[in-house]
Amino acid sequence: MKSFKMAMPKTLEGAVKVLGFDFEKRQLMAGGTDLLGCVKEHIAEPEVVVNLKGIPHLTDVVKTETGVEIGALVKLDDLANNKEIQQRWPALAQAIAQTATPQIRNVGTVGGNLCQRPRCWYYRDENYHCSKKGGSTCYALEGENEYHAIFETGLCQIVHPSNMAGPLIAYDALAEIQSPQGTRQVRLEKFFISPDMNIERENILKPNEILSKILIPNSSANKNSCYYETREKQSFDWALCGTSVSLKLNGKMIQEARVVLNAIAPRPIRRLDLEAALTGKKVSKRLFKKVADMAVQGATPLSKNSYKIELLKVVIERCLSEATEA
Amino acid sequence: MSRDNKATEETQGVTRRGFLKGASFAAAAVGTGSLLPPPQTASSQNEEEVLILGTEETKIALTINGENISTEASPSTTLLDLIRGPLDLTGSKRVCDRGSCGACTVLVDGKPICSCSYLALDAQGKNIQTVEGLMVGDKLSPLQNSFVSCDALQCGFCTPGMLMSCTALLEKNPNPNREEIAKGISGNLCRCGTYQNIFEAVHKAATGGGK
Repeated sequence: MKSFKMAMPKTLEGAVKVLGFDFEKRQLMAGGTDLLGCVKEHIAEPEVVVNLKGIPHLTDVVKTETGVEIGALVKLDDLANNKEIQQRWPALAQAIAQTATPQIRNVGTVGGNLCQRPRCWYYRDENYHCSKKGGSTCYALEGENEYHAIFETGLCQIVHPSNMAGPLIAYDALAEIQSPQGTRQVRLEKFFISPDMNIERENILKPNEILSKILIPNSSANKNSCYYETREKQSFDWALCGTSVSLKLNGKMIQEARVVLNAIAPRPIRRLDLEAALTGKKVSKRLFKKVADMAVQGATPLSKNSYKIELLKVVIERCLSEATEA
Repeated sequence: MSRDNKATEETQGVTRRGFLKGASFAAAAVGTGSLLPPPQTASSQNEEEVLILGTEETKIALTINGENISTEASPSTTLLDLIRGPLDLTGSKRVCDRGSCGACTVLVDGKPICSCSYLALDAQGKNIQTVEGLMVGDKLSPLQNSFVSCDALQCGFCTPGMLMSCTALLEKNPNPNREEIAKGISGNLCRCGTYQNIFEAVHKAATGGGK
């Protein structure tokens, strides 16, 4: 591992100042589990690591009048075991409980999970100067692409590795961003970007900006919500396909729906068309099958991952069923 | 490594461990932090000056197995490098070095973490427990005893990490069922596939059979 210096800011304002203008030279660290992996693989070689652990209140989960505010440095395990989250936003707790391992969840943070770099093996291999690293080729396009995207393919075939992003988007979460000019809030849905917006990054953060907290509105609390994913391994694995749904039901009638798909594209994707197809309809297996079929229309699988199409359909049907049975 | 092996190594002159130790101390320059201004130019007097440490070693204090320790580590030193290197606690194993196998598991304030993916500087002021801290005097812990009696190891490389994850599990849940044990060790990989015996050992320790 290449040596680095460590900056220990005491405020978010101090942290953004010390970050500067170059992603490569000065990098943020929350829990560090992903960053250290990148440094060991020589795909990140920061001169200065800006450690956020000295900044107070970033580990707080605060109930406000409008909802709950989750600091970027809240540990995954703490959030998954938070009773309020489990009861009111169950899909979020479900997603986190399936993330990584107990050891990683005790160190990994909310902000770090949402901002982790992709798991594409060409990206993670220093010998491949891929388009995400400033090169001109995506090696997955013609290569080993069984774990890659089936939507928004073409430029870069990664899938976004965060599974908790899905439920957070389904719950209309906001991201608060600290920049040198101050703070701003954006919908988490708009926080993640496609490769055509910036192939080298997965979100809108600039080099001197920090995701400081996540806000979930009270209005999105819903027991009829669910996160469902499939993986090859039961532990320490990333999803092959994932779905988050949140349904507002009146008896058997779906009054409102949120559907977000993850691990199938370079960003988590909210599907307004599926939400519209569910809204105003009565809960039924037939409806869920129709929606699942609709979801994969327009998919552009790569040479080795068309299995994800059938898998995604099953995941969507199961997720919808579990949400209505809750 | 047994004491005998170590003695043999030392008689051969320069040992790998001895060499690494010497090298790390030689590299330990005056380990004090510096106060650097931010990279941007304009800064008013009220603005925070951010402490920047390294790249050389800096003093840190932590508690390991109940003992207060003052030592030095550079910002890029992992907790695993610190405990296996200068502190010579080689029970925790480096296997994948990426947080996926759990062989390096130690407890930080009672919670299992992968020490390969955790910086030594972040362990400052924390209470660290390694596999070396499980014994009471010269007696094995009940869990260690039940690992022995249930044959819960083959090659033994995953064992220190398994023991730490299971110790944390039993601390939180003194009578775990099979599913809870499986969840508790879901971050520890055993390439020999001894999971069945590990389940039995944890169950035995939980029900008082390891004493």
